[in-house]
Amino acid sequence: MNLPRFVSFHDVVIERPGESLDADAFDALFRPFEPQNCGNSRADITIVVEHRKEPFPVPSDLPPIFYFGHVQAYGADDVSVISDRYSRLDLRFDKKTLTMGLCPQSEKSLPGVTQAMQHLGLGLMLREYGIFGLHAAGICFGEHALLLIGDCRVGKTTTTLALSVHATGFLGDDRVLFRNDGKTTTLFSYPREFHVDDETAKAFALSVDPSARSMEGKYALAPEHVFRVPHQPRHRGPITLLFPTILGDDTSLVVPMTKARAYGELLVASALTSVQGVRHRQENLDGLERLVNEGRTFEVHLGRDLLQRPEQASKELLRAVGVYP
Amino acid sequence: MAGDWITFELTDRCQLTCKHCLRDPGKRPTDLPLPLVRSSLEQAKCFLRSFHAAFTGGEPVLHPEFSAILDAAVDLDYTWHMVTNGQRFERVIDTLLERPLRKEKLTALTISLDGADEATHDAIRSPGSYREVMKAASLCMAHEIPFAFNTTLHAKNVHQLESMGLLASQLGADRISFILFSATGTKHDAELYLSARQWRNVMDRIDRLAEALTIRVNIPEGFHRKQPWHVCAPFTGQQIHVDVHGRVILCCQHAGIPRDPNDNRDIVGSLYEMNLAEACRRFLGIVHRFQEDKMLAMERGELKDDWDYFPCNYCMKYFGKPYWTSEGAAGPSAIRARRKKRLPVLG
Ligand code: SF4
Ligand code: SF4
Repeated sequence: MNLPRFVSFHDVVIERPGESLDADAFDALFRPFEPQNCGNSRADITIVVEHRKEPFPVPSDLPPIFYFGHVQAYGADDVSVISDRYSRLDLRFDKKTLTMGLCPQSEKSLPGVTQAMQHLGLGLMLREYGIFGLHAAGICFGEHALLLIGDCRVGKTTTTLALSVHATGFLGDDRVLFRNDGKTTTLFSYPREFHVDDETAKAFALSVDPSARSMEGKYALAPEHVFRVPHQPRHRGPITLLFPTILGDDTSLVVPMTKARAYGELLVASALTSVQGVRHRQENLDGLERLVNEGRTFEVHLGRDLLQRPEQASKELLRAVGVYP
Repeated sequence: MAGDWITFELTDRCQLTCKHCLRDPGKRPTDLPLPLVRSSLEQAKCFLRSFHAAFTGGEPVLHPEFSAILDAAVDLDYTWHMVTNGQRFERVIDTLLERPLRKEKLTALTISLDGADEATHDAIRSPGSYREVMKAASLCMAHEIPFAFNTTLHAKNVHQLESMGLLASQLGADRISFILFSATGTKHDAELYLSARQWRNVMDRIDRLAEALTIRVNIPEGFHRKQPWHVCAPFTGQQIHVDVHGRVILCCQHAGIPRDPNDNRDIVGSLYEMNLAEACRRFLGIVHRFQEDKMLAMERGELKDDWDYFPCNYCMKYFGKPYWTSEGAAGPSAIRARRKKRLPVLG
């Protein structure tokens, strides 16, 4: 595939001078964004790839800062390293470079781990530009944006798919970015691949490739194949934060949530990027607090109605939180 | 007579059949006519300088001309609030959004909440009503409409008093008001009864809860007082209450409740037959007589029962309505059997 060397990702110019990977997470992610013609000028972030048959060494001189799934992050001042013991991402914040040292052993032992590391690395790099990540799905309804926040298996994807029937644009299914200028929050899209399980694929008539089943039993689908609405790169306006939980009742129930609880839940969902030792931690925490104070916050107990009659149930849910389809 | 507020019992229609309700769900529905509401609002504005209208029911939203009634109030520059059961609340929101002045003049929506969980609330009110209340609270939050909860306490939910306060606070309500359950004259009185002593204990718990919560915790009229003499807000003339038949009555607790058919001492007068000024003059006469009689009873040492120190209970007893005694409910019974079946409603 002929990929542009420079791309403007939410006004951050990213350069990928060399080859991309076999299943490069960035190919799909950057596709909807404008290619840039930067000539010899320097990009904001440069991503380079290095292949090696042998595992890359785990850093011995850097303290560990967090562990996520199967990867360990290390860091000090201007450097962070993410490693799965085979491949390794080196982030140089002073030089704004992200070097991906790849060993084939990574994918053999843990399919999808390279892509997870790529997203993690880019997320840490974007913080240098005041852009932070949220573990959330984001969809827009005209001037309103809805963020569905929560860890895996809380029904985020199902709710997002049900609600997207009435949406005007999507920001992302599992990750949304935000920047806070001190007054208002702008949301930015993160159109990475969408991950659905068997039940959700069946309920929403999504065609999946059975051979592409991940370790967690999910299928990766391109967002444009899943959402029936266009990609919306950014949102500035009213934001509603929904915190879903699976209740298993017949009908879903919406309940207002206090700001304090919502902030707590957001911290839990953002634990990875707000831990001690990660750069711009305080800005991240301040941004989350502002987001909660700016937005409206609700708890959604998901019922079976969202799978059984998604169109009607999601309409009722949207009405209950004041976002009219 | 201050006359700050005028309260209208707009309709006795309701979708629910709450156990503690004072109205008789078996009766044919009655609605207060729009022209009478408008005329009363005009008169109250003109001679009492009233500035606030309150709407109750039944479920006020089920009045066939609810929007026009709101407009009558806001066009006369009244602020307003209403007490609602929160069912099918989207329609309330639609009504408010349809004309911004309606929302601007709204001070708060008071939603009835009778349990801290679905099972308790629904057992008292009707199945599915708890979820509707939660949805109503969400809609208020989403549209930045201030809201409060009214909770009628009795034997079936008093154990959840603190949890209800906490829930109200978590849901973002401005306030929660705990109402002492008045005798209804129905078979439900026996299962919902709490003794005078238990009520004093409830008051203590409410006081402690009020200290712990940051939202307002109110107790309206009715709870125990150490002194037998008490002048309630309606008796100060702060609120004028118009019932669903267009009559000025003492307060909402006197509306719809079974009565001694030969005792009409609490009915001030019908606004179909007299103007509001005349009704207010008569109102003062009734209050005066009641107070004189109560003072006399105190002088004679007749206030011996614990329950006589609960002002509303004493008032109900005096005016020949159902009231509490140490043995349970006394006074007249409901004239008709209360139907459990839901009535068809408009809208
Ligand atoms: S909501 Fe309950 S208490 Fe209120 S009028 Fe209806 S039945 Fe009576
Ligand atoms: S019941 Fe009687 S004492 Fe109680 S508030 Fe009404 S008028 Fe006053």
